[in-house]
Amino acid sequence: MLYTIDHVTSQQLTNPLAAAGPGPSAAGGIRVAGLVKTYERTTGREIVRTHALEQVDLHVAPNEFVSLVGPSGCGKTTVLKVIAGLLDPTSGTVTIDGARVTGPGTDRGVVFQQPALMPWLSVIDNVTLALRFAKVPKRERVPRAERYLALVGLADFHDHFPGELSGGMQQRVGIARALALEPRVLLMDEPFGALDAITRQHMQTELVRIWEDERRSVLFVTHSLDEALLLSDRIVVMERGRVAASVDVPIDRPRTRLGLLEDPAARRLRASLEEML
Amino acid sequence: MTTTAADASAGPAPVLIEREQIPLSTVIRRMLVSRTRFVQLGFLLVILVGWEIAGRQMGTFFLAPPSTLWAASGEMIASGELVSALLDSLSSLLVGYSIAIVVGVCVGFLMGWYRVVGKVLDPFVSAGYVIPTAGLVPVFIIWFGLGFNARVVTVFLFCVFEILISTYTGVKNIDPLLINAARAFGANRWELFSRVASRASLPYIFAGLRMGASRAVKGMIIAELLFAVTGLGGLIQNAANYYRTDKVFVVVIVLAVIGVALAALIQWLESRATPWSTGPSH
Repeated sequence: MLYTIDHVTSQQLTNPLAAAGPGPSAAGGIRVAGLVKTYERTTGREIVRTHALEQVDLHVAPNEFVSLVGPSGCGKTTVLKVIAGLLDPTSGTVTIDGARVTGPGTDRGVVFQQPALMPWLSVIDNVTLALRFAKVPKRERVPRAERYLALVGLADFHDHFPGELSGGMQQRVGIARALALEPRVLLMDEPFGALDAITRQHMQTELVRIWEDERRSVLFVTHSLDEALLLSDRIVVMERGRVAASVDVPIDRPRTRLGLLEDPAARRLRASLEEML
Repeated sequence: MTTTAADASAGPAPVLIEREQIPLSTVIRRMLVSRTRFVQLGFLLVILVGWEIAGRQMGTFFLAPPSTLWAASGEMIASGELVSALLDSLSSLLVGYSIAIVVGVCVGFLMGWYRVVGKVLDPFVSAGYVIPTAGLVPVFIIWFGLGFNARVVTVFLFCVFEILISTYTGVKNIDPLLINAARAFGANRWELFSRVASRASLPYIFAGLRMGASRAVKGMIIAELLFAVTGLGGLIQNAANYYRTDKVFVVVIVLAVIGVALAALIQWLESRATPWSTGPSH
């Protein structure tokens, strides 16, 4: 069945958490409550306040794949950075499986817009370095890195340097690095945004496959509706620093791009989401 | 967890990779014989021929032609003056340059790493950088005398700012994405420094070392001319006093060789330490 946008929006406005699945007692997954982020800048005799996040409430259930969509500058990436612990909110709280987030932590695996690999380290050293930072015992690092590099199809590229890999392959290393931490949640900030269309499609398919292999909560920031529809259980629409809507994607998996184009329900969902953006 | 065969999942490997060992002899031959080397040799030949012609026209007294330099250098080596001057110069050069590397890299790093330190020290560094070191020579004579110490200080001041400013710039320009990535994976402050920042800033540090090396050689010569007449600079001055331009040029060539050797050494270290980078100055 398909929610109409109006229905969901009103539900969202009356009780943001109710729309987001289980009630507050279920502490699992990612829970974001009353998040506010204001930047202050002094120029001459003026203080300029930028309200990046006005009031954001969000819940990602355990093993749920949620996409965060919205126009650029709406605060999607800011939300993700706060959840990752890389940015302190002005107010509000983030909890992961009930534990309050106060800084970066290895319960969250982050994939960035750019691959963010250390150019002086080989592919496998990039992954083991992250494991070292995460205090994974030394003996486990290499086997784990090998396992996850194989999972993203880079088994033959261990001793290559990032500069020798294509953009898509670099991004796969970034994904393997995040997965290798075996985090409770995966935070992905437009991970395929910088890739060409063909590589992006390939990576999307692969991400779904990996996620189905190893279920975990995923918060996936994107500005592409098609990407969000293809990947997610639920789509959260952001606008001007607020959550504007939260929409379930009740389309059977496995999904294909072609299937989404042909499915009338998917088309209606896409059309109504497009209207909101 | 099921690692469903990577080959099935990831599609075909995007590229074919072949590895082939190259014999050492080929590697060495490629280093010695190349088009660049050939053109460089040709260029050197043109300079030498032009110099020879000009020298013979003007006379050895005015401009000693290259053909006379063999004899002059033989004479200088035989008398021992060239070797002792070279050792004398190199010792002050290397001591001054090494101290400058330690101080420049450390202070530059502190300034880049701790924003407050950078902001506070920035104007002082700029001031120190613009003050012409040669102008301070009279004070140096009062403070450090005319000996080894005064020369080391001069070499140090000539090159420390290049190294410091370059390191500072390098640390400030570390890709924040790399820092964020490391933080996201749980790196602590020490790990950020030792595993990320110290590596990421290397290209800039080496650029500073290269610029600093040539400045250090200049500082060394100036010190030898302005303080006690000694070392290679002293040799130049003495030779010029006796109108021995051939000897002057021998020393100048030795200086050029020192500069080239130092640059090559730094470049070699750089290519070993930062194989991923072509450096910011390229």
